[in-house]
Amino acid sequence: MKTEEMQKLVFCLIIFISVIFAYNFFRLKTDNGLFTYDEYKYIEKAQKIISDNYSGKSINENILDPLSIVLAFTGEYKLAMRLFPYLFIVINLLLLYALSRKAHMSENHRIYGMIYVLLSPLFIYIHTTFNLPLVLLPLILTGTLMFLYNSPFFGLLFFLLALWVNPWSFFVIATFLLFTFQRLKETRKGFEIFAMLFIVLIFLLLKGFSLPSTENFLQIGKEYITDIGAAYGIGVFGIISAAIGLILFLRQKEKQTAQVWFFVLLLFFSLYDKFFLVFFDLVAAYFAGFAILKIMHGNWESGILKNYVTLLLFCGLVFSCGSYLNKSYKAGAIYEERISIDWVKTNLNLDGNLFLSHYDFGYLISSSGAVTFTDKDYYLNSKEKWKIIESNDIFMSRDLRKVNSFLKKNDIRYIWINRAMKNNLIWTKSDEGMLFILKNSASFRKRYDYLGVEIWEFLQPSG
Amino acid sequence: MKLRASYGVLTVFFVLYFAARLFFSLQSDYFNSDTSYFALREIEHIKATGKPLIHDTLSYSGRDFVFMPFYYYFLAFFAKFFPEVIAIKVINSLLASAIIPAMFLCINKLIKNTKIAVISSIIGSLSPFYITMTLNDITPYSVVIPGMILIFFFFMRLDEDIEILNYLIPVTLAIVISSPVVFIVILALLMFFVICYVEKIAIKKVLFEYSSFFILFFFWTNFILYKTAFQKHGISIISGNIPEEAIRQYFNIDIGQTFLSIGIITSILGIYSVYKYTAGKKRKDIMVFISLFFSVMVLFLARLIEAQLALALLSLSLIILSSQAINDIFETLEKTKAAKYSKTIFFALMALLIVAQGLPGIFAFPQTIKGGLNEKYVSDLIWIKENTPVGSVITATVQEGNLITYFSNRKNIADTNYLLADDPKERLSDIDNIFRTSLRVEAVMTLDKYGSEYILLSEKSKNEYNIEELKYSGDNCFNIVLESYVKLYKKDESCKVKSYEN
Repeated sequence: MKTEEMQKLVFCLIIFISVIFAYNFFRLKTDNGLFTYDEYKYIEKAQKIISDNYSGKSINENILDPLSIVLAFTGEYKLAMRLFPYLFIVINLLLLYALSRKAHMSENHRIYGMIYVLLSPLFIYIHTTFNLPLVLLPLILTGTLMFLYNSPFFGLLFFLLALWVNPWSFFVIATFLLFTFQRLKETRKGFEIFAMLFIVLIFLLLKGFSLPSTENFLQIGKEYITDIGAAYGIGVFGIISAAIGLILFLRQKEKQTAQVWFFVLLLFFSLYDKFFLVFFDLVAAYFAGFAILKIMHGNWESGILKNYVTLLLFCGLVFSCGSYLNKSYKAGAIYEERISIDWVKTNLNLDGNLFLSHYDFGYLISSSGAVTFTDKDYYLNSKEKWKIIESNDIFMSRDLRKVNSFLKKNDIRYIWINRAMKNNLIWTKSDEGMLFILKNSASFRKRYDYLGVEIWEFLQPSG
Repeated sequence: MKLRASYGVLTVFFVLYFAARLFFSLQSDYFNSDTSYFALREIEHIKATGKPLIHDTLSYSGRDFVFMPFYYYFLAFFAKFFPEVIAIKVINSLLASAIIPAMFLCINKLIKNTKIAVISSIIGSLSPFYITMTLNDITPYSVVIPGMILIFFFFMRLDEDIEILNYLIPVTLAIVISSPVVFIVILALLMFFVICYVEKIAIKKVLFEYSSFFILFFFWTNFILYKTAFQKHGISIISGNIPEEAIRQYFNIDIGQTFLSIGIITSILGIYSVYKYTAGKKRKDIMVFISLFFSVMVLFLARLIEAQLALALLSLSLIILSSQAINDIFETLEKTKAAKYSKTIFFALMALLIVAQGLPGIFAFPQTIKGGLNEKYVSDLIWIKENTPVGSVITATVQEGNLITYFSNRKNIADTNYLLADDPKERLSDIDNIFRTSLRVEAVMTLDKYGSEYILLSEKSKNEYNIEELKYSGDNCFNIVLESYVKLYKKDESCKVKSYEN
């Protein structure tokens, strides 16, 4: 590695770590809470393992969730959840850089691709929270690198670890392995296409040949693009730069179509499961880097337009990044919600009594020791999603009999409602659907109402 | 006609056109549409504070605004030094008059015939849709439409002279930050590239470079400004989140009348040009306007842009395309035995064009002014300001919402600024309900929902709902507190519906 290139890389790393540090610092200072709703999943499980004194039973119960086990064994799991991302920033960046060198990308292409990655909302997301891709990314990248450096044994070891963390990463591993073999020129012409079709077939088989759950184009946008409302995802300008890169790449006379196929393959997986989006973003970085390279070093008839377009593209990437930071900085779990959970822990009888709420808040409520009717795990992994459909139906219902029988049937005793649910997430009006029943029926008693969070108890009607 | 003479004619007509616009718009102390009063509030706020009014407590009884601010800042600058309404009317007329040079430059570039270019640009400026939209209103379209035509001229010139970027870039920046409707230009440019690609017409690289700059700049500014609106409304942001009922009203167009207003001759000649240059002879420069025509047509049919704007742009693009057809006809005529009559035919055709196309435009001037606000109506609105408690919510038709916030300084239930507004569909239907229902209970419940105690019955609401008075007003619950040009009903405080509790 040249000294100048090394300097650029270290500079990028320092800037990125500073941004993440500043982000965490200010989030902590404004009392927005350190943890997002999804992170409470690990908190809940780590808490449980610790409270069970690391018993074999509790470890066995969580054997398919090694991240929680690792966190529990650190003892200070909350601190570990905040420190791990910093460690992984350095590891992931170095691995990505090493991989980009192996992918025969030019020096500038590497740097621009890296800039894209660092400004990507998705990359920021995985390094500001404790999540699955944070750990999976280094495992899969290291595995791929091991193969590229002709150490298949270690490569396989890392891939196995990745599969333990999340079995669905098999498809990412398969895609990355294809890339590796193609790079090592160990595949015959046409093999990649055949292999890719095979991978797609297995994937579809496991998904029951169903269509992606996102209903339409706008829905995809709202779930995957941070600028349009996704909790985490890709920025609009990231998409624009990757699309420009893809077009310019396809216009080249001498091109390797493999990258394009990997791009399409990971995009396909991502449409089914957002977990794959992180890996899709890495391939998108390749094309975005290529776009910036061609724009900055290409032959333009007008120098002014070249400068403006480059500036706009960078400004756009910075805008998407800043916009995401601003949004996620304000995201929950917020103070009001956390104190309501503390209240639940000490004031409610949680034995065998389920909580009903939006699935987004399932992990948060579970961290009190309560059991929830639905959570994000159910939403992401259930095929039929009938619990989600039924609970949505009940939330919007004003039919007291229907609501009562649903709650009774499912042993639901408490209903946890926060401000987000009352402001468009479920209801748009204060007396809409179930809210009307809660306020006007003797079957419900308000147990908690503080700073916008309400907890209602369902008093089972006799007979 | 020598170049200088044609410029002379053009200058004279420009001055006349500007003077006519000014003369007619100054006939009234007010503006025509309610949206002008939203613009006026913004301008006044900028003038007073230097910042646009983003959070408003009056519109929809409290909401946020999102818009491109450049046009309002531009007018606020002049309003700071001169009497407000006059400064706005003068500057607006001047900006809107720029359609003449913009059209002339385009057509002259296209056909290189100054005579036809001068006459066509005159006809273009007299488009009834354009006049109705811009004569006595504060609308960014006064700058955006001439700006868009100018961008297309510079775009054609860019093919020959790269130095034109020195003009093209500032115009682009100004237009993009004036209104989001410039996405029409993006669509036209994309369509232009597709047509050129399909027809294998060679395009200079700089045209791509400029287009990529335009698209990126547009996306960048719009995503920064309209991000929240995009998150809230999704794709319906393109149509401004206008409820279906309101869109239906906007698009309630008489096809025959519309066709006449666009002009039968220009329509036929324009469509002939579209056919000729897509099916036969391929020319890059004319493709720009064919693309514009198709883009506007697509957006219009999909009801994604305002009908008036679409019709104005359609008529302007058809006039540009028809000038090409006229030029082609005379070029062919020159090669026939009828060449000696070509001058006579030319003048006859031009006279016919001016009569057929120009007259509806000329009539549109007084007609537009006639449709303006009534002095008595405005004084009644001011009465409301002086005689109702601060913070009152006045129920009126949606088209009167901005007038209530401006003249009466009171809250409304809804107005025509739908972007970022809460439940505009529901509010529109509730307003309809208040005016149509004969059930007092229903009216009281709906009014209570919005905390409104006053109902404004104006000529507009009478015509819209075909009523002379509120059907439920004949008891002590609703008392008339103002009976002048408008009627203002006040709901009695004791008049309440008991809430439905178990």
